[in-house]
Amino acid sequence: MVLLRHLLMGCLGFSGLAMAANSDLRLTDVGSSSATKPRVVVVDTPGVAREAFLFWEQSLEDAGFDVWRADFSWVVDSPEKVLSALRQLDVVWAEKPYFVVAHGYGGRWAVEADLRAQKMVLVGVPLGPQLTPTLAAVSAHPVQEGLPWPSDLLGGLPQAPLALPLAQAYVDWGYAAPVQDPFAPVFILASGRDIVGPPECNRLPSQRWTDREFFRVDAFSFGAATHGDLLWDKAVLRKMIRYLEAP
Amino acid sequence: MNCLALFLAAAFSFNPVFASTTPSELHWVATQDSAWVALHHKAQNKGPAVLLVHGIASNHAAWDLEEGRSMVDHLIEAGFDPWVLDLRGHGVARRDPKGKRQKIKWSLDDYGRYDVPAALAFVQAQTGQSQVHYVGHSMGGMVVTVAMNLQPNLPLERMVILATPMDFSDPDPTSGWILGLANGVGRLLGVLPSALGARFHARFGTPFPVDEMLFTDISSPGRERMYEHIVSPLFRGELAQLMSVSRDGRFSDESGRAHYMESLEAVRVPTRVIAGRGDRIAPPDRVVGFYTGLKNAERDFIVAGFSTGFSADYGHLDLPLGDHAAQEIYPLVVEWLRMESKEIP
Repeated sequence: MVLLRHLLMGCLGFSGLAMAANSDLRLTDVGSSSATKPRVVVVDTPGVAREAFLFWEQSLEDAGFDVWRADFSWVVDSPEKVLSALRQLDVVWAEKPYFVVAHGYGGRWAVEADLRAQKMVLVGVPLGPQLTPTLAAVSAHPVQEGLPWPSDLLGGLPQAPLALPLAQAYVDWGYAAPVQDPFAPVFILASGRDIVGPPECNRLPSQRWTDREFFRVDAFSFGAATHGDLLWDKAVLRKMIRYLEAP
Repeated sequence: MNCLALFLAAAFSFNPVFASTTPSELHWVATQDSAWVALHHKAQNKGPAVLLVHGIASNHAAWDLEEGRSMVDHLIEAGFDPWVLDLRGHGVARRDPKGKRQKIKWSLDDYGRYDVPAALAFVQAQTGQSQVHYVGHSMGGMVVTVAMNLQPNLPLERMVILATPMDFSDPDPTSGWILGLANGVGRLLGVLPSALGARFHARFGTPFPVDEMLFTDISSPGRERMYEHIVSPLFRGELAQLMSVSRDGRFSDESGRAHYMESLEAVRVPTRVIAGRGDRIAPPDRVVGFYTGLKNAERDFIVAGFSTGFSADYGHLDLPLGDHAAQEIYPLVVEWLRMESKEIP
């Protein structure tokens, strides 16, 4: 029921605020609005369907956060536009502290944008290159069907159309230098079976960051989470909430 | 009560006859500190010699379990002369040539300081070759690192390292607790009866996610045969050293003064390092430390998983024994050993 409410709110633009001048990013207050609760923005990933993040949104709202969704217009078609849209968060919320929660490439955009967030939780986020060449590749079409990976390797992740330049950026990150140490303290969660953001692509490149914690999701647990599984993993959620609640 | 009876039956039905595709000669080699290691050899050819060294709580059978799961047979077919080591306390070297049980205090330092050099010297003497190739799985890669640190001029030609963790930074708390528990039991009993536990798990199953931790691609009856044959006890010296590795976040000697990952910088032996995408004992981010540590050697790094074009997300034991290892991993070993070494300026 709560999920349905959230969906309706999202569709009706409840508390929604089109912030970027070019409407590349939509910021929506999901659930009940509160000025007193700590504010968390769940940054969606271009190329991943919005419903992928509903579990986090609902669970964080239930845990006492004021949850906002930042999702991108499907026509957003360049890395510059994504970064520019994300940076509007710091303009609109210049005086309001907020946390960022993100998964996969969405987290990479958030770190690239170097948001002034109080804390960031990055789940399965590629922060540095892959150690060896992978199967990630783009087709020649201007709009891709989803992330540039064989979909059966992503663990049931619901995908969405994605502009070629963004898909190309995802592939390029697999070979590019690591992203810089961000302004915000970060908590990184990773699983060895996640092909997009495995520990070697985030634990190792972030080791010298000034304020960073790391948690390996599959250390002696029963299952090994894929990239998609991380969005529904209860251990991930527990760790995320504990980190955000810590002073 | 029935469970107890089953457990005891499983425990005492162990027959120390080891797996092998065809019989091999057994050679006993005394080490400098008066322990014994065993070398298994079945090649008839006179090709380049290769020393194969198993991982922790394992033995020579990890390289030669059965038809289709035998690195040894593959190397022989490719024209090499493989020699398979049982480190002291493991496999047939659980006891010395007179049948007396060997000590149980040994650490990874002992294996690297004494066993590896003794085995290499023996293979050199037997084959007349001045240099020997090396293939190590998991701890088999750690012990050669110890050996190379102590003896920089070891007669090594080229190496392939499978699933050897070398970067222990950001230690996992859960791993630390489990190692701490194992270390406590090890100190109490001297050994952890992992071989007994493995046979029990293979036959009756346990509630622990042992299979999931160890492999992703070993089907029956290979799975049962593997548990039956390749597992050796865990010794308190090994556990104590691994405990300190987990605590300190780095692979050091027992005194904590020598840091082995740093020592790889001096190594010049051309080395291919292979990690498994599905390996939860030595995941790629821990194994890559071996590769990055080799700053002055010809080197190569491979992650074996679906995302890199392999048929499986290789787990820890899949690299030497998986259903697809003979098609995908063994050829990578042969390919690297056949390459001509290049001088690195």
